[in-house]
Parts: sequence; C-alpha cells; structure tokens
Amino acid sequence: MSPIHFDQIRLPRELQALREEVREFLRREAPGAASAPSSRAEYNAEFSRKVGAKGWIGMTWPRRYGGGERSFLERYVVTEEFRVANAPVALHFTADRQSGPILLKYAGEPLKQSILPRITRGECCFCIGMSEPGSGSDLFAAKTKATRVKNGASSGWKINGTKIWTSGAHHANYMIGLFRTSAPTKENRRHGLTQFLVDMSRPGIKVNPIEDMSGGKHFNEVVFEDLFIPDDHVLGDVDMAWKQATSELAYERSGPERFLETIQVLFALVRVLGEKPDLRGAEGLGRLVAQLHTLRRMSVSVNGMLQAGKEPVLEGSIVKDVGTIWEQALPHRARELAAFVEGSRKEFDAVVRHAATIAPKLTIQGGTTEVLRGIIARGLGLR
Amino acid sequence: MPWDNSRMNIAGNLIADATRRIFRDLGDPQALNLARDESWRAPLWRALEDAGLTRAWVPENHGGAGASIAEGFEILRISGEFAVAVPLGETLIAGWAFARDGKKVPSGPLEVDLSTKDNALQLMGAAVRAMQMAGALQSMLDRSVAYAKERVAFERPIGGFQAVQHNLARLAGETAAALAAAGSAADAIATEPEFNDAVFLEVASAKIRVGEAAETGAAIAHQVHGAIGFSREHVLHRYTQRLWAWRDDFGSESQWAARLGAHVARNGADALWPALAAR
Repeated sequence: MSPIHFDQIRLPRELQALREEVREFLRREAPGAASAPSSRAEYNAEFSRKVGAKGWIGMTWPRRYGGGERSFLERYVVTEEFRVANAPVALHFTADRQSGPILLKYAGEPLKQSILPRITRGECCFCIGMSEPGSGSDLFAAKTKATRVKNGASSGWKINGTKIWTSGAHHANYMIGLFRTSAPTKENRRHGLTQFLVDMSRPGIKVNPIEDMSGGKHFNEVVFEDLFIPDDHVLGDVDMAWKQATSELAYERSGPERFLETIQVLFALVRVLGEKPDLRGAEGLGRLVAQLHTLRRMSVSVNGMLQAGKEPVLEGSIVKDVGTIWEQALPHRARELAAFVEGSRKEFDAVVRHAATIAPKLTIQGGTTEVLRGIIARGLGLR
Repeated sequence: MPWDNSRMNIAGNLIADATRRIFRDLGDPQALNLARDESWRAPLWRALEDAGLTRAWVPENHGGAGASIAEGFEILRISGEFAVAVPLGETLIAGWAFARDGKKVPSGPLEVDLSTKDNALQLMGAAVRAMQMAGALQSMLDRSVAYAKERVAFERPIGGFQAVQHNLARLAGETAAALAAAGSAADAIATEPEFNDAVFLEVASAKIRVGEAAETGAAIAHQVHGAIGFSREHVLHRYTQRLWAWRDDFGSESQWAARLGAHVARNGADALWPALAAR
C-alpha cells in the first residue's frame, strides 16, 4: 500500500477571527514590511516584544512557562500571516520554532522557568550551532569538543572548537550547540554528540560575521576557546544527541515558512502583469497559483495530522523538499513571465532581484535537498 | 464538516474495500495487459454495476447507491490505481448530472462530453480525472519502489543507488502533490454549498498540478523501470497512457492555468492571499 497519505484537514473556521487580528496587528505594526524586500530577515526588538505581548510566541507551550496552550493550527495561522506580510521575525522565530521546544523537552526545571517566559515575551534570541568548517550535512562528523571539568563546586564542561554558518549568532542570547563529548563507536558513528545550552554572553566565545552574497551579514563563524558550560546546561543525555530528534522536526520541515520565503515575488508579478495579462502571463501565473495552493494544502494537512497525534514523517519531509524547490524557482519563473511587460516595473524588478539573490540558500539551510531526499528514500523503504 | 470523517470512515471503508476487491479480481492491469481480447470488459462492468459503484452518485430514491461525494471520489481514486480504461468516471458524473436535473438515469455505461463547457460538469469532470490520475501515480510510485528493490544491477538492487533513490523521492513528492491537490478539490466539491470561486480555485489547481505531476511522475517511473517498462508486455504503459489521456480530458493543465491566471489577475494582487488562506 502506498506510504503517502493526506487527511483532508482545513484550518477551522473559528480561526478566521485570529487571522483577522493578526492582519490588523501587522497593518499597524509592520506597515512597510511588504514593500521592503529584506524586512523579513531584520532583528527588530521592539516588534518582537509586541508580538510576544500578543501571545504569538510559544503559542503551543504550557502556560506555566509563558505559553498559550493553543493548537499548532493556531500557530500555523500566525506563522503564515507573518510570512506573507514579510514581517521582521528573525529575533524570535528560531526560538519559537526550534529552540523552545527542545528546552521544553530536555532542559531542567530552573532553566525552563528562567528562559522560556523570556522567549514568549519576545526578549530572547536563539541561534543553532550545528555546522562546522569540516561538517555540514554530515552532522555526526562534528568535532567541537566538550571536555568534562571539575573546579571544586563548579562541575561542567569546557568547549573548544568552531561552528560556522550560524545565523543570528551576533544577536543571539543563547545557542543550542551540538558538541562532541566522546568518540563515535564502531557500531554507531552517530554516538558521542551532546546538545548544550550556550549562554552567548559568557567569556570564551568569539562571533565573527560572514558576509553573504546578498550583502547581508546574517551568518557567522563562532569560535569557542575554553568556554565553560555548567552541568545543568546539558540538554538530554550525554553522547545521545542522535536519539533526540523529536516530532518538532516534522513541524520544522512542514511549516508555511518552507514555501513562502519568496512569496512577495508572486504578489509583485500579479501587479506587474496587470488586470488583463496576455495568454502567456495568465497561463504561467495560473500554474504558480496552483502549485502554491497545493503546497499549502499539503502543509496544512501535515500540521493537522501532527496535531492529531499522527506521524506524517514522510509527508513532512516532502513538503520541505517540494516547497523549497518551488520558492527557489519562483523569482526566475516570475522574471520570465514578466519579460515582455513594458512600463513601470521598478518595484517588480527590485523584489525579484532580492528573491533571486537569497534563493540559492533555500535548498541548503536547515537540511539540504540531498539530505531530505535521502530521508524520503528511507521512508519509502529504500534504505 | 471537514473534521467529521466518522461516516466516511465506516461506510467509506466498505465501499473502498468493495471497489478494490472487484478491480483486483476482474480488472488486474497485468492480466488485462496479457489478455488477447476485450472479454474482460463485460464481467468487470457487471461486477461494478452489481455492487452499485457505477451509480454511486445517484440517490437511493433514483435507484442509485446514494454514496456521498467523498465516497464517490474514493471509488475513483482506487479505479485510478488500476488504470483500467472503463468509463467509470464518466458514468459517475453523468449519473450525478441526471439526478441533479431530476432526470431518470439510463442504465449501462454513460458518456459525458469530455470538452463540455457546462461549468459544473466541467468542474466535476476535471476533479474526477485529477483524482484518477492521483490514484494512478500512487500505483506507479509503489510499482517503481518495488521494482527498484528487486532489480539488481552492478551487483546490488538499483534502489540502493543514490541517483535512483533521489529520483524516487521526487516521484514521491509529485505523487504527494497530486494526492493533496486532488483530495482537496474533491473535498471542496463535497463541502462547498455550490460551484463557487473556491471550488473553481481548488479544481483548477488540482487539474493543473496533477497534470504536471503526471509528466514528471511518468518520466521517473519509466526511468526507474528501464527498457522493460517500455515493453508492451509490462504493465507500466497502461498507467502512462491513462495519464496522457486523462490529463487532456475536461481541460488540459494549460487551459485551466490560463483561466486561473486570468481570474487571479482580474481580482488583483491583494485578493490572492486571502483567497488561498481561506482554503
């Protein structure tokens, strides 16, 4: 029997009120974002605090940690509206999507109580320390070393090594880092890595910005020199990080941010083609809309199935594979379709130029297309 | 009520099981492929008729099975898995249309003009073909994966090669898109009060996206199967040929795309996201 299945799930109608509230908030608080192509990547402390005050960060988390105990479908509505408005979410989005859920699952009580409420208030920025100069997609080749140290009362770990391509490290209050605590074993090359919570304000951390091809300075090299991490900052079991993939991973792969990264291009295309596009423009536009609608229906379905306690692991990986390829190609398709439009096209050209410049990273960040297709092949029983 | 699948689960499973059993017994694509004549046709159609499947969308008081729209689409998806060239889709649609117009439904297999301009008929037809194509793609994926696991080349199953794995992952992606798009369009027809703009967006999108999936999907399925898949003897061509026929019925993806694009352009950029988000 076929391994692929999508439940027919639609966002419940009662979420329309939430959607209107989000749109109203965005019109008020981020009015220029949609017309400023790079707005999405901005770290805006004031904006993130306002989002936190609305209860839209950590929406699904328990109330005792500042969360809203709301459903993943409610979070879905907020996430997609923020993406479509191109709102500046860089400060809080990583913590909201990934880091918070990891802390919820693996951190001790005192850490959860001190950090999670700050995330939900939009005051706490996280980065993710995975890649290293010698290990990217092959996470389990990480070498940055964590050595046990004991100085009287303070027992913990000493970190030495380098992480790279770390987005937002220059803004982050914390990193969740993957460090080597022992050597891999013969039987299991994934053994020996441990997740740590890193307080980025501690001595022993140097953050060096790396300029990217769009001229932005979003990612960094992070060098650790005898950084001390206390014992209670170990997340989960020592040496066992490989076992700690959680269901959050499926949310992370299948969310609306996996196909809406360049969405401003589509809106700009509709504007530049005008009310009566030629047949070529109309046909091309129709295909793009059909493809986007399909991606969104896949994504909503996966999120609904997760919310219902199912495990659409294969479907979630497919959303990211098909979605990132689509958003990467979008600026180029739009450029072709608008090729013969004359007259005012300045805004369109600017949006396309920006999107085309960030497009190459979309199939690399957070797991490359090749890694994803390997995961899908495993889901098909080929590995 | 998109959340209430309970009726669908109980009654729907019975109908799905019956459909699958009939096609497995009397419409197996491999058996049909090797048959030298058309003698399989009559028994298959009779079994479908006896089970009430050919009148799924005709209400019970009109002598039909009175199945729901969703159940009918499930019958059609399963028929797609077998890629059999019987007019089941046409007969379901025609029965639905006769009953809608309060007319008596004739017996036997029925026909529908595949290039009809009747709005509701065209939408039903496109949604039906999209669903059958999605079913066919599911089967092509299953068959391709199974073949890649058993066929040995260079001293190992070809499914062990990364290049083949990645092709199959793409086929899975196209199949997933087809299932999601066709399923969503069927659900829209089942739940919307009329053939409105929402149904148009859903059905147009399904016919376009599934048609695109058919092109990529069939190419990969053939690539994985190699020369044997191109032979008359192998069953794969039955799927490929059904896809090529079905994607042209009730409007090709190009025709639907031109209509959908014109519609989106007419409504303007600011109306696009709200229309998508409402689905």
